[in-house]
Amino acid sequence: MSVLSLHRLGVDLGGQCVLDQVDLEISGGTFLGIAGPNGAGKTTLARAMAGLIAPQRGAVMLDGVLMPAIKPALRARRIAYLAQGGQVHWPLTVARLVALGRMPHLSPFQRLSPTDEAAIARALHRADAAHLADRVMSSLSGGERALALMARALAVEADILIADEPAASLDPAHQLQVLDVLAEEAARGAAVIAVMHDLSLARRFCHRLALVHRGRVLADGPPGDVLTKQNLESVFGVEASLGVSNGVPVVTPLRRLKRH
Amino acid sequence: MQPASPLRLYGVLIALLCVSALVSLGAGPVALSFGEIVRGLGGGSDAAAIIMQEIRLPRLLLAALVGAGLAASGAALQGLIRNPLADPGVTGISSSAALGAVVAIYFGISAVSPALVPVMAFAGAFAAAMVLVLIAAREASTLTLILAGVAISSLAVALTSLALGLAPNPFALAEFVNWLLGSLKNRSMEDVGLALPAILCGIALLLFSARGLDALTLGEETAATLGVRLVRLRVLVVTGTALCVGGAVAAAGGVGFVGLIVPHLIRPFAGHVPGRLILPSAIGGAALVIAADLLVRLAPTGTELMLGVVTALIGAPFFFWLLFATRRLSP
Repeated sequence: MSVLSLHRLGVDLGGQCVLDQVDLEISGGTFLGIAGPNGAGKTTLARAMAGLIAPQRGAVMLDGVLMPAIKPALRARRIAYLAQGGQVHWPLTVARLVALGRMPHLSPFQRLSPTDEAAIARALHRADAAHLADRVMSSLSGGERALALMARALAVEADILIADEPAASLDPAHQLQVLDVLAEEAARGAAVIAVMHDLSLARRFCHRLALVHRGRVLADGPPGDVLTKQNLESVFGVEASLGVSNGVPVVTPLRRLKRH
Repeated sequence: MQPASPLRLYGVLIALLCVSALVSLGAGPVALSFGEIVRGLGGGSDAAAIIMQEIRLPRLLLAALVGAGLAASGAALQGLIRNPLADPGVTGISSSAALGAVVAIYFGISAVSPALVPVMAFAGAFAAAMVLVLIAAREASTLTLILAGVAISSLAVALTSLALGLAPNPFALAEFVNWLLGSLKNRSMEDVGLALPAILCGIALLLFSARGLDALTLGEETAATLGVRLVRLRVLVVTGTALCVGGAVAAAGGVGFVGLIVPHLIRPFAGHVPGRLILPSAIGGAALVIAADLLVRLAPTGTELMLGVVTALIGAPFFFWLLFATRRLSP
């Protein structure tokens, strides 16, 4: 049973067709990766799924209900969104930042309840950011920031988690850590959708991979089936080697192909 | 800086407010004791009671309202624009309110009834706010909102200066100065009656925006995924600000720096959370303007200083110091 479904989705931005005829079904317990070259429409796809864009064509549905028909507060409880880069404008402590994730559960003047405090503690623990709770955001390293922002998204305790390049510009250890957290969320039953640039990591962590090219989903299925030499050539324009190193699948781009 | 517990923060601010209010009621050409203040407030018709009810109390209440309105709207605007340098002046609402007042004087509207001057100040503030609301309703970015504010502000100042140049009577200049630099001289309870509902309603609207402003810490996109309706939030903040600033300018003219400096001072003690800054800023702003007005009244100058001059004289150097201090602290 899919929680989030896209039907013939089409999005225009500034008069340009960015997404066209996208069909996707995502169910709970799945870690769906979205891969594709720069400018393919991955971020737009993630934003449309999060209800941030009103599509020109087609529809995004949450549990079979059209997205615009769902109240923002209700949608916010169902879908957690981890933006690319993740800006934080004020030097809040990590604990206060993570507490913002509880906002969809609170009425305007309601204080954090013990339930909320427990959810915040859980989120900090799951993102392995509990030791950062009292630190100020502006004093954190890039990796620590990513964990704190991840904890903020987890604190929503939504059943759909959409992350836009969660592992970008992180060192290898933090990359693995962030993807482990996302995989755990999927194992816990959430529908996890992440825009991925590192194809080896996508191959290894995702249950399913959607390959986006020029605004369309070119391939959708198990990462092993999607990341073929032919697809890598036609979508990314690279010749790649697909191998296994110490039991872990590895995708290595070898050389750029001349564009026709 | 370690964020103080909310109770301690409110305790300190309310204590500051009470002390400044008591000193302000007691000090002046005729010094009044605490007992005389209490008796004067209670009623009676002796000299102390008349000074209290006719002169010092209206002035104190207006100073408190002006400070609260300006500081609360500064705090909310800084949260909305996510820039600690924003204040009601940035939105052009202050200068538009002053323009309304100046137009009232220049076109002789004030001759019909003095009450029309504050009313025109309201109108100016609302006109500026409406333009901002219309821009905000079209899903404009915060940058667009700031640029619109700058344009409105420049236009209002230019028109004010034009009216100044065309002023037909010799007293007009003095009145312009009053409206542009701010003063609480010779105010009555009627002025309080005009300012009070506007500023209190404005602060209430701003308090309703608190949660949304907290979420905006994460940027507009993430705030939207937390259930914040961005257009509604902008309209709420702009309308609340228009009410606060319109009321404040109508009562006292343009008093600068309060909306900038008070939220700045309080922010570290509120854990930098934008929504938790609004009410403490209102209390702190009230205390600051009461203190500034006390200085205006007691300073041994030939003619009474302008309130806006005093807030700028205190505010500007302090603000510079603050800028350098925060620069050093941030990585």
